[in-house]
Amino acid sequence: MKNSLTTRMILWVTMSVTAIFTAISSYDYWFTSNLLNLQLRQLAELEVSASETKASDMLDRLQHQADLTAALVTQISPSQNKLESMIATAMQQNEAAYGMAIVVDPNTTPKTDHTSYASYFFRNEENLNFVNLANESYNFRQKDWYLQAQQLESPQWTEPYFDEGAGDVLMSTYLVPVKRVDGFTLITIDLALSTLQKMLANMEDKQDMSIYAMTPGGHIISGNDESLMLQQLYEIGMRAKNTPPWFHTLIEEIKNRKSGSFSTYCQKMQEDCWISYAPLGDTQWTMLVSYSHTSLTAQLNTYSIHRALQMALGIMLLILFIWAITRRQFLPLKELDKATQAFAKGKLDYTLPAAPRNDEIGSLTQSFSHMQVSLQEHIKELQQETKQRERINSELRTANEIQQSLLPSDNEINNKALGIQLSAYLQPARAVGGDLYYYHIQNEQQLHGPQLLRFVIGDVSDKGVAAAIFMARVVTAIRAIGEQVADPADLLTQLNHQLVEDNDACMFVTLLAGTLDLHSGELKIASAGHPMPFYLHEKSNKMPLVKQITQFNGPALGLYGYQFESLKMTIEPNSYLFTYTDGLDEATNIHSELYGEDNIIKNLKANFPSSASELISNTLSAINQFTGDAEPADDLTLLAIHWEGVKKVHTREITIKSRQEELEQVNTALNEFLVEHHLPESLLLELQLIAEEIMVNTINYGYAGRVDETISVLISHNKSHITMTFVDQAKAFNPLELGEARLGMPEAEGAVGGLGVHLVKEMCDACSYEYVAGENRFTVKILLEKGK
Amino acid sequence: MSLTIEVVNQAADCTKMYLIGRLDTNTAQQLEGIIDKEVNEKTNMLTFDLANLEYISSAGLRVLFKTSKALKKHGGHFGLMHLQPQIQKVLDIVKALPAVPIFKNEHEMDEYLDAMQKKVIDGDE
Repeated sequence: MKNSLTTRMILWVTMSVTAIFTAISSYDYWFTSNLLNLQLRQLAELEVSASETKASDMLDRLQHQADLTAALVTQISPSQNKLESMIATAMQQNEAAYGMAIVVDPNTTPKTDHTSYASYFFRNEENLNFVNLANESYNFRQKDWYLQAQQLESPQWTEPYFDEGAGDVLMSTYLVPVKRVDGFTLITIDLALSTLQKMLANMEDKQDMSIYAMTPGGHIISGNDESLMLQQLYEIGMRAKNTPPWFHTLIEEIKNRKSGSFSTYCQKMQEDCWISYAPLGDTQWTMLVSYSHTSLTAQLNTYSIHRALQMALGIMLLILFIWAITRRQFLPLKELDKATQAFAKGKLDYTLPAAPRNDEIGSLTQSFSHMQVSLQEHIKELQQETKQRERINSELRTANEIQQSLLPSDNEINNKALGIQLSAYLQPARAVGGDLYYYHIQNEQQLHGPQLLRFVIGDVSDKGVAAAIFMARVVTAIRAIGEQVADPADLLTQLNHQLVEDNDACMFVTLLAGTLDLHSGELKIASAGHPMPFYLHEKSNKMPLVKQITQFNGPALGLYGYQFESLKMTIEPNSYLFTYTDGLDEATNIHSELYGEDNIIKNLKANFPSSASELISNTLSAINQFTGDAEPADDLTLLAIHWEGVKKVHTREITIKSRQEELEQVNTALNEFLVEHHLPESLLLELQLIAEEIMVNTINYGYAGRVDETISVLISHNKSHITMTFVDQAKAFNPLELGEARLGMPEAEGAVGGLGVHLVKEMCDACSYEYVAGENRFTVKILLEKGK
Repeated sequence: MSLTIEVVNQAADCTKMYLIGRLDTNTAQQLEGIIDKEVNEKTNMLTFDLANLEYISSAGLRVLFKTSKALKKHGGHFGLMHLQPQIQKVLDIVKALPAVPIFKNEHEMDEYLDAMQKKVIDGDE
């Protein structure tokens, strides 16, 4: 299922859809986040301006209160009592005001000093308190706010200060100086910083932001941020290790009463933040607001997560649908696949699924159905043909076996005693062929008489079954005639005579027949249209002699009567004869080039063989190399003969175990030795008697009855005598030193051993004994003359 | 080659054995066994016909000596006949049987037996 079409389809579709979705979502995210950012920014700016309005409103109202009072003082110069009641009323109306003071200083107008006063009203919880600032302990003339006011041309806010002895809170005071003819008059209104702070904190609570108010002198009033409370903005900037680049711009902008905003890294929040600044109405105050990006992006992130989840769900649903659809669409294809797999396994009777629709799959199913029928028919035909061919092959195999059985059962001779080696090779081009060979050693097991190697090699015209049948006829005839005639020419003549009869098919056979006398090396050869053998001899200077024996060729056998004649020659010991059929010299390679006799000679010269079988294997590897992949056109037969010459063995050695039963072997060996070397057989009994007496003595006395020791006899002869040397490893014992048997006194039991030795001494013509290297060596010589 | 022994009891006390083949170390025991079975104290005359004996070794000679000796002990007679040249040669070499009468043929043996018979009868007288 891993590689199924459905799986791959789901995979690819899912991957493409995911890619497209991702691209769309990315754009959507970018677009939406931009939009959202903008909206959030606008929202935040709206909040900032609302806060500004609220703060500036409060400050404006305080300023206005003071300005109004000052205007009244200037224009109508009310009495002290009247002024004090006006201020008290104003305080009640304006809850933001912490305190109000009116100072009329007569010192500036020395003429009317009795009118001077300094009245101060301030809140203490719910009540309005009054303090006369002109008392000894407070001494308003020494206060900063008063000193500052005297220098003023226009109203101004003081920087925050703690009004000890009067208001007793942290405050900033709006000073409105009034210059009249009767002296210096000052109206003040106090803003308790705690009030401003409370308002800012309230505004902060609603939004995720920090709001600061800043006095005209740059002191910061914060809502919840205690760290910046009453800090001087300019000093913060100077104190910072790395003054941010925007700092001086900000200072400049505030000074010029401008509003704006910028984004930067906020150390307090440890993140990027947005900073907004604006002057508070007509007052000298400034408002600063900072809010974090996180609060803005958090919303965007929530939106994105929702988007991603939607997409994942969508893709999952998509996969499910695609799976369901493709499964349904490909079901017939799957059935078809199952059917074809069954076909492949040979189940041709597997039922194909019904063609469901008239689409591509339906058409494919119909095609498969046609194929199934055709295949079934084809296989049925093939089976019949195969069966028939199998029967023919089986018959041909049997024919091949029969043909093989017509050839000599062993394809080689290796008789060391006769010094003859022969090796044959036959490879039919087809199952059966028309090539043949035959060989036989006459009198192979005989010790006497001429020992002849007969050999025949032949090639029936044509090849295949017809040739094979004719070949059988030829081989049978050769076996019948071959044993009776000595001369190969006679064999050919008689064989020809038989084959000519009843040969309506005009089949013929080329044949080479030969005999080799294994003693003398006399070779007789006769040929009926067959190539003559090659003769190989290693000359004394190590240069091999290779030549083709030349001889008049008679006609091929089976055509007309003919009197054949043999060539007679004597070959050298240790020489080779090599015969072959035209499968060798007429072998062709893939370029249709003939192997030819020149190549045969070249190969024989290059690789002078050390045995007949090596000659064959050398020739085979050379011809295989030449033909390569080319099909053999004709049957190939090779026959190699190696004649070493009969070795004249002048010595013979036989070793037996120290058992009396094994003496028989020595007797046989002695007999064979005399026969093989044409020595007088009348000496046999004498030799046997001597051997028996000496060896029995060794077995019984020397080895004291131990049966697994050995005794060897070396038998040799020269022109005058036969020598036998007996060797054993028994204790040193010289039979010649044994005392004379008590002759003539046969009853004496003890003399029996000595009797044997006496017999030996009497019979041999010379006896000698020596003990060498732990061995007893007893040598006996018998004159050949005696046997004649 | 082996030894074949044919035993002919010509009379109750007169036995003749034909030895055919080879009388050597390996066949000597075979002959000894037959003699132990066929020859006893009642045997008066034992003759070996060696016409077909091809070969004899000292082991064979030993059996002949032993038998000759056993017969003499109780007054029996022992003889050999039809000796082949090679057997004669061995006997010549060992000069072992001067006291054993050797017959060229049946007639000589009969004469010898008659003489022995006569000697016994004369001796009894």
